[in-house]
Amino acid sequence: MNEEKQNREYYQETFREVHAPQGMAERLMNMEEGKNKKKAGSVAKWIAIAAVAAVILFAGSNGVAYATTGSTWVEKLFTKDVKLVVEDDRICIVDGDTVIDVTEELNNYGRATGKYQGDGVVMEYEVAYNKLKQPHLDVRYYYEDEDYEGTRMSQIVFGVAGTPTPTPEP
Amino acid sequence: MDTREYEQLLTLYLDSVYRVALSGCSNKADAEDVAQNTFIKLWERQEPFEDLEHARKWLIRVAVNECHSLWRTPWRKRTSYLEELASEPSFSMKERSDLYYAVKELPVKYRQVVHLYYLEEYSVKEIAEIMKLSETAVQTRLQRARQKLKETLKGAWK
Repeated sequence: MNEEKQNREYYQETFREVHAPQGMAERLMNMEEGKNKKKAGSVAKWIAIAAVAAVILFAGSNGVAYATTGSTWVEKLFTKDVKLVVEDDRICIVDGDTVIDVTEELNNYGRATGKYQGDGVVMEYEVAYNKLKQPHLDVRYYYEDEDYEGTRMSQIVFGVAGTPTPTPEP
Repeated sequence: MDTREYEQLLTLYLDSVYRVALSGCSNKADAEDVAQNTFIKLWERQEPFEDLEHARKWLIRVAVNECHSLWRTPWRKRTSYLEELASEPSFSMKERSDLYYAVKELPVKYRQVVHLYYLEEYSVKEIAEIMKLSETAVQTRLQRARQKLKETLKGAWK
């Protein structure tokens, strides 16, 4: 047993003189920093790849939609059939079955802004109608958020510049 | 693994890991590779260690496994390491140098067991766990290694 103890001490004294090469600890420390940078670089790389893939998918799918239907899916998604109709000296916004007469709302500059409360959706409009400029309609839609006190415009659905229907000649 | 803990374990156990690696590879370049891979695995480890002893045991186990992986690689088995002769450590006493080279002459399977037993002070049972061997196999290897060292080192090894 005593001999075993001597052997162990002999072995330990010997091998405790063996050390990792100089600079190895620093290299391993730098490697750890390098790995951090590599990880960050790797994330950036994947974000870039994802962005490029998204652009290709977006452009490609629109291209396919345009080739087959004559209009892109973005166009279909964001264009709604809303019009500024001028009829019998009345200026109306026509959105599907909804007709909003804004004639009385026009100010001296021929402008009117307002909101229309639809079924769960708020339509905000801006009309420009005077003799000097091309008639113009801007519409924005929002979802209502009942969790919020009052009406919160939480999400823009889309924006559209409407082209007015020409006034029929008498 | 956070940077502070990594640095602490690197400082405490780099030499131990390197020595285990050297006992499993017997050349500097491979031992450095093994030590490096071991610390990469440490950095990638997600689970915390219970204490320093747990960390030490884990590092040694990984180093042993890395050595085995290295020996399983076919091109490694065919490589000779003549250049290693120039980079052997120098010792303060001749008897220590004698022991170092005597251990180096042992077959790897004996060398690792001897190293874990005498330097890292693991029991036969613990070595069996680390090396995934039976206790009998560890005991046998240890006995044969002792015998060989006794023959080589004459009176210096009891």
